[in-house]
Order: sequence, then C-alpha cells, then structure tokens
Amino acid sequence: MSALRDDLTSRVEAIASGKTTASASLEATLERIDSSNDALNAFHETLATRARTRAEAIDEQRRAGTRPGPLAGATIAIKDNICTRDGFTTCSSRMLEGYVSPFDATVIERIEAAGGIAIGKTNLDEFAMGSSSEQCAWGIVRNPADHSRVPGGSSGGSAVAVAANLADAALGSDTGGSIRQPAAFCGVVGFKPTYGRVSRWGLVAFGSSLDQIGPITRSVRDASLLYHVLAGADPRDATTSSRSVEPTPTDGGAEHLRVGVQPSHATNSPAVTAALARAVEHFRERGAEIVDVSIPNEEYGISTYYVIAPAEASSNLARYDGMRYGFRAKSRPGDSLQALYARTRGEGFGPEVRRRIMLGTFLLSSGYHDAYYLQAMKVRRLIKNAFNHAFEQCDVLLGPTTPSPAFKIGATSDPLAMYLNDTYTVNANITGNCAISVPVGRTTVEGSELPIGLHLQAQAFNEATLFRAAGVLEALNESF
Amino acid sequence: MHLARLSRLELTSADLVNVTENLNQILNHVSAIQGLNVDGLEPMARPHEATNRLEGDEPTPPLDRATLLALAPASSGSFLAVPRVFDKGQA
Repeated sequence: MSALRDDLTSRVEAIASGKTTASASLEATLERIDSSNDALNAFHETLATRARTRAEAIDEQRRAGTRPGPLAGATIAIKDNICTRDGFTTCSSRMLEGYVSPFDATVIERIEAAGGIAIGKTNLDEFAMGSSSEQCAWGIVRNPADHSRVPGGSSGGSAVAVAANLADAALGSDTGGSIRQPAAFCGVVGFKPTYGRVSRWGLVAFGSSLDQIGPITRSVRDASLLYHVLAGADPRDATTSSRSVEPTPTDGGAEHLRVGVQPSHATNSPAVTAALARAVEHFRERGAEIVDVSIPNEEYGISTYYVIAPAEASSNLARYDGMRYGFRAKSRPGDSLQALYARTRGEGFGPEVRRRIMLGTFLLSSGYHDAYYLQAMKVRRLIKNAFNHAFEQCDVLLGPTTPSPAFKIGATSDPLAMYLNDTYTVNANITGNCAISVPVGRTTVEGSELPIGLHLQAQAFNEATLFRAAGVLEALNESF
Repeated sequence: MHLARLSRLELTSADLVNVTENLNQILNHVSAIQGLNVDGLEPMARPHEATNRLEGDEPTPPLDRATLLALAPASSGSFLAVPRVFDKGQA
C-alpha cells in the first residue's frame, strides 16, 4: 500500500537497516518544510538545531551498533500546546507569544527516549479551542488537498504536517475531536487514547477531564506504535492510569468482531454516508458481525460538552493574568490591578477563547451552576452509561468522523455551527473512551479531491480491539 | 458587563454586542440538557474513577529562579514586578 511505504514504520526500518540515515532523512524533511510551509502554515517554527543534534546522536548510536529505539530517526511534529524546552510554546495565542517552556512535556521525553526527533511546533486553533485552525494567532492553516479549505482543528497544523509529508508523524491533543476531525479532513490517521492512558504533564490545559494527547500518522500501525511509546502511568499526572498497556496489533482481522452501527447517523454529505455503507460491507465481507445499536441521549453530547469544556477552560485559563509569564498589556495611569488583568486578557486572547471563557464563567456562576454545570455532569454519566450498554452488544462502534469533508476557509463564521462539527467525536471525550479516525478514500467536491475519514470507538482501555478494527478499516482506502 | 468583569476580560462595545448574541445562541442550544431526567445519577467530574495520589514528602529541586524570572513580563532584582495590589481602596 502506498501509504504504508511512506509511513513512520518504514522510515525507521530504512534507517535501522542503513538504507538512509536519520540526518539525511531529517534534512530532506526540513527542506520540504522550507518549501511548503509558506503555503500551508502547518508549522509555527522548526526545532532544527535540537533535531540535528538528536539525528546525529541516533546515527552515532547506529554506527556503534547500539540497538535503536522503536522511533529511531523518525521526525515528529509537535502541536504547539505541548511544552518543549526548545523553541516556543505559544498555543497559537498572543497571550503566550515568545513563551519558552522551562520543561519538556512527558510525551516529549518519551518520544526522545524512543529515538524520535521533535522537528517543530505546529499551529492550532488558539488554546486548542476550535475545529478549523482558523483561530490561530500566527495565521490560518490550509488543507494540502485544497488550499482554500480548512484542515480541521484544533490540531490542524499537526494533521497537515503528516498529510503533506512534513514529518513522519505528529502529536496532537483531543478534547472534543481535535485530533480525529483534522485527521479526517486531511486524510490521515488520528487516534485519541482512553482518558488517562497518556500523560498530560506538559500539555497546556484546556478541559482537564477531556484532554488527551495522541498521535496523527499516515498508517494505523504507526498510531499503534506511537501509542505504546506515549502510554503509561506518569507520577507527574495523577489522572494517568496504572492499568497495564496491552499489545495492540493491527493485523488481527475482523473475524467474529462485533461492529456496532447506528442507523440514526445521517450526515450532510452523501459521500460520507456512502463511505460508511462501503465500510459496513467491508467489515461484513471480512467476517465481522454487524450489529445495529442505538445509544439513547448520545445526541446531547454536544450540549454536554459545550457546558463542561468551557467551564473547565474558564478555570484553566484563569492563570493567564500577565503577571508571571506571557503577555502583559501596557499599563495606563490610574490602572488598578484588576484593570490590567482585564486588558491583558482582553488583548491577549482571541475571540473564540474569550467567548468560551465567558460562557464557562456563566455556566459556573452562582444561580446557574446547578442548572448547567452540575446537570451536565449528570448527563455525562447518562451518556457514559449508554455507551457502556452499547459495548455489551458490540466490540467497536463505526460511524462518520465528520458530517462532511473539509469546508472552505471562512465558510463557518457562526460559533454554534462550528461546534456542530464535533457531533460524532465529542462522546469519546465525554465518556473517556478510545477512538480513532481512519482515512477511507476521497470524494470530489467542486473539483477538489477531498479526504473522508471514518470513526471507530471502543470502550475505555480497549485499545486492543480498537486497533484491530482500525487495521481492517484502513484496507478500505486502497479499494475506493 | 458583569460577566466580562467576572471573566476578567476587557471587551470593546462591538465585542460585547457580538459575544452577547453568540452566548445567547449557544446557551439556547446547550439548555437542551435541562430537559433530561437525571434522577439518581451521580455527577461525573471525570471519565474514570480515580483517587488522589500522594507523593512521599521528599524535597526536589525547584525550577531555576533565573529561568523563571526571564519569563516574567517585568522583574525587579530577584522578584516579579507587578502593579500595586492594594491601593487606597482600589483592589
């Protein structure tokens, strides 16, 4: 398969066998970034110096006969809300313009311990709030399939880096779909682990009960490999699970796999609907049992999410006060401290971030807390119970990742309409389940070939089943 | 606007109009959850049951002061420089 020939696993194999070196591979990638990034704006910056040092070390180890790590020489693009000691960590916000993190996130340490090379920081919707990567202080990110269209968000830069071969893989973060939706729009694999599988130490917090870091890759086997590098308990993140990380082979096939499908999933796009029907047949032909499931109240996922996420965001973003780090507005004579806070935050944050902070503040405020936030936490349990019940009838749920393929830049100016892009992805964050978007082919829209991704969800901690199903689904890409 | 003050956000008057409209629209949508029967359900603050973990009481080196001061918008000697916190009745 053409995608597999160019994936991270094959790159690591080529370096390990001496067909190429980490340094040569890195230089070629840096050149491609140099020539493509102006048009796509995937990267805010490259970490060339750090990357070259790492590549030389990897090559030296190989020459010395040291056994290479599982990612040895692979270039990994890092979403710019993940702290790196080199370069900046801006979250695509003026609030953190020029901010240099004093520490590396746990995921960076794990990638590097495995031989991976952090190649640069990618653009995102500001503070990970958005579904299009249009809310980026450093300019919009463009979809490589059609530069007039969005790559999705919030991990748009990371998805573009992988789709345009500007890195072997990327890290993104997913709070309501921010890995999976851009992966679908860009035609790559995007995986959100079970909540608690991957440490959030060093991930700039947005919705602490929803956020997870995960890989964006060109193949399912790469996502599985990266999952094992990233996953595992971290004493620095008390929400990480100490449950053992089981093997996740991707070639187990579909024999006797129970695939749940929801007949209620109508999308705006005949192409997505048709892709879903083809995927169902694909699973059936390979021995899976297709099970019709209905999940009561799952349609309240968006409403629940857009109460919980802004509430948590308003709390998490309270730290940006212009005092200890980041942007501080110019003082005016007679300013009180409160006035400076308000002006710093008013100027430092973009419109979507301001909107969500205010929404969250309202939902938590006295008189409204019970009706909204407390209610949402109970509905969260209602939804989780419904999904748990569904997973008694099936092993994995199959559906669309997005209602339609990538939309035009500027097409969705209405915030609520933008939020509805998350319809099929949010429930995996609400429930804490694991989920993945797998590219299954392309459709022609107004003369452009746009990728389509389909979504698989498995019960929390059941990555083994998820990856098994994803491996089957991936094969559909070639037969489209 | 009270909500802007609670959020510690200074907004232009154009912003205020926009954001009010947006928030009303969003609230309209998310209010749908209020109609659901959640009797007997425990609120779910996080996806999985978890208990807080305690660390041993062992001191570890802090982040380097110079590094942190370099991040500050303003500093004075070994301190952060911030506006006066208490100032003749203003808070």
